Amino acid sequence: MEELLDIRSLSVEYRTLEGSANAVQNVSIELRKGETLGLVGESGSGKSTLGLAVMGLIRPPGEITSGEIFFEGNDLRKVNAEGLRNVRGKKIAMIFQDPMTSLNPVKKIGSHFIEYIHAHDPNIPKKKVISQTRTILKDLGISPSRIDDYPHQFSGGMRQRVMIGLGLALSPSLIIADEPTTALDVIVEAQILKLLRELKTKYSLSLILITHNMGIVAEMADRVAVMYAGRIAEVGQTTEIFENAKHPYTQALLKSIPNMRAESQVLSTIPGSPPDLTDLPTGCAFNPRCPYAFDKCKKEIPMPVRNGKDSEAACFLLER
Amino acid sequence: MVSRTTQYVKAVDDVTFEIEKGDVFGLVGESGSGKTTTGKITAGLLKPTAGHVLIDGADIYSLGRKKLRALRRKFQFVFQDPLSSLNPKMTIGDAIAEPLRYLSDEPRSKRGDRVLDLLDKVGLSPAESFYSRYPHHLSGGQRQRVVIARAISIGPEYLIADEPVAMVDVSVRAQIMELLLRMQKELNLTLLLITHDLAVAKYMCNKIAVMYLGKILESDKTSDLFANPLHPYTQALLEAVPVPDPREKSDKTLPAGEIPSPLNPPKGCRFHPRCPFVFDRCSADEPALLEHTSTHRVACHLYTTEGKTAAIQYARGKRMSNSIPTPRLNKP
Repeated sequence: MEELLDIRSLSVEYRTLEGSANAVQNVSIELRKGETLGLVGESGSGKSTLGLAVMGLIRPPGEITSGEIFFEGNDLRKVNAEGLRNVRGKKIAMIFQDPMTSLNPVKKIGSHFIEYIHAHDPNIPKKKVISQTRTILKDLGISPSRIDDYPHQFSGGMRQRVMIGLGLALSPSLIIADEPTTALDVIVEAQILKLLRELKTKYSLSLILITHNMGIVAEMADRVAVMYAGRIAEVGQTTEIFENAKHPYTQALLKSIPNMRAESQVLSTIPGSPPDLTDLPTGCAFNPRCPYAFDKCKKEIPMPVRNGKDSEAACFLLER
Repeated sequence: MVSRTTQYVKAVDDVTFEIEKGDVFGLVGESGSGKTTTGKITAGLLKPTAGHVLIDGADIYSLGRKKLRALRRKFQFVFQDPLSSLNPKMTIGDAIAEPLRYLSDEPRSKRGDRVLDLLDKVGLSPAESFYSRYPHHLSGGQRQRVVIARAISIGPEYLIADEPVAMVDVSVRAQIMELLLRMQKELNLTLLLITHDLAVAKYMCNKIAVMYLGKILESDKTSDLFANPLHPYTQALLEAVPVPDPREKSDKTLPAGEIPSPLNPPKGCRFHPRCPFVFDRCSADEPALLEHTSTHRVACHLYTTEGKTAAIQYARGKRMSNSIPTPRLNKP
């Protein structure tokens, strides 16, 4: 079976004092084995929530209200807590944005690995775990002698490498990386992205890369899914998305991003801003900002329309 | 007994540059580069330990309090986080009027109109409805517009924008960049843009200075800097930035390691431990920022005669004699 992950009609809701926020609405997307899927969107797009939902990390006041998450053929929503613990880390691992808050400042780096590995498999002898940890550190470009160092002794980039290492420690087949380089400097960001590419090949991983940065997506992703206000706006091969985007949001976004390599650019601006999820416009969430909006857009929500094997876009323009 | 040694951080070390009236000057660098500190110093907000800031020929830190205060009215700041820049208890109207209350001679009766005018100017329409709202009612981009309106309210000549779009949604960034450029043209402002984002700097600035660990490593007119980057650090930065174009995929050669601590910067050239073209002189002498052309300056030994010779020798795979420095490759 080609699809490693098959998300079908997934919805996630957060109940807040201001009302219900529909963080993810009716999202269907697949990830193929060995693929890097770029999940792109701005604040409120639902991209991070989608990642958390796959990991089974949605907690109250958030709740998955509908849909299925098929991983290797099994619906993760139907798996019990014990089963999910077997998936998390061992099959699917998540890497977050800020390594400092994810690492325990009073534990040595080595202890992070040992505890993590032992939590999932208490029977592995400690010596073996330590030797495994040293190998991982080498893969990450960290000297194995640093196994006894504390997080504060590492720089930001090194800590993120440690986080990636922890993600890989139990040999998962899928990594979900949520804005892994946002908090890092330019050159370190490039180093980390390079590392992710190398590790992906070395360990035959599949990768979901969640980001707001179209540059990262262009560099790393095989396919791109663009999200807006909790829904999928468009999906396609990376080159298709950049050269021939179908959804007005994607088109507008690409035209508004400064590209250093361009000779001279005139940026077009998108009026307005991403909507408040507790107060979404009726119809297509992008319609107030869309240059092509017509009557139907303000009344009904467009469903994704397939065009070609790998592409789909949720826009009424494509029905005309 | 507990004792403590005081360590010093040279946040900005021997930095020299000139900004001409009407420039949009970019100070580009990663963390610890000293760009924000430099910006504050040029605005009269932070007294330097040594050196001078001359505005229209006057040394601003030698002026008396009254004159400095008068000069400070000519500078305004736009910071990165629009939420913390606005008092959550003040309405938008009051926030924009605040500098007018304290720093201008505008009569109170005219203030309201002026604020409405400014709201229109920055694209917050209808102005009347924004006037009485509070910051938490507005989106990030709208808040940043309010901050800009407040900054231009007293008619400054010099605006310092420190990462003005870093915390704004991607689809809104172009709006804010365009607003800043429009204000710059309409009000004949001189703009100092501090950013780590090279794409933003390229779009907005006509001149750029690249900083690293408190030093300027290279400065040039924007188009030339991108077409012809001289300093290995600038080259590395340009190579590292992920570009929104999938055809640009390349196997990047990146400098090894990360930015060292400013508490203990490397001896000689601060970039030398990570530089792919390092040679002996680099760890011994700090390179001066020298003119390569009248508009392009670079602080790198590769561009001295000795450096050029060393580079040629390295390329030829041989050394002339022991007295000529030998470049060695820093493994990435």
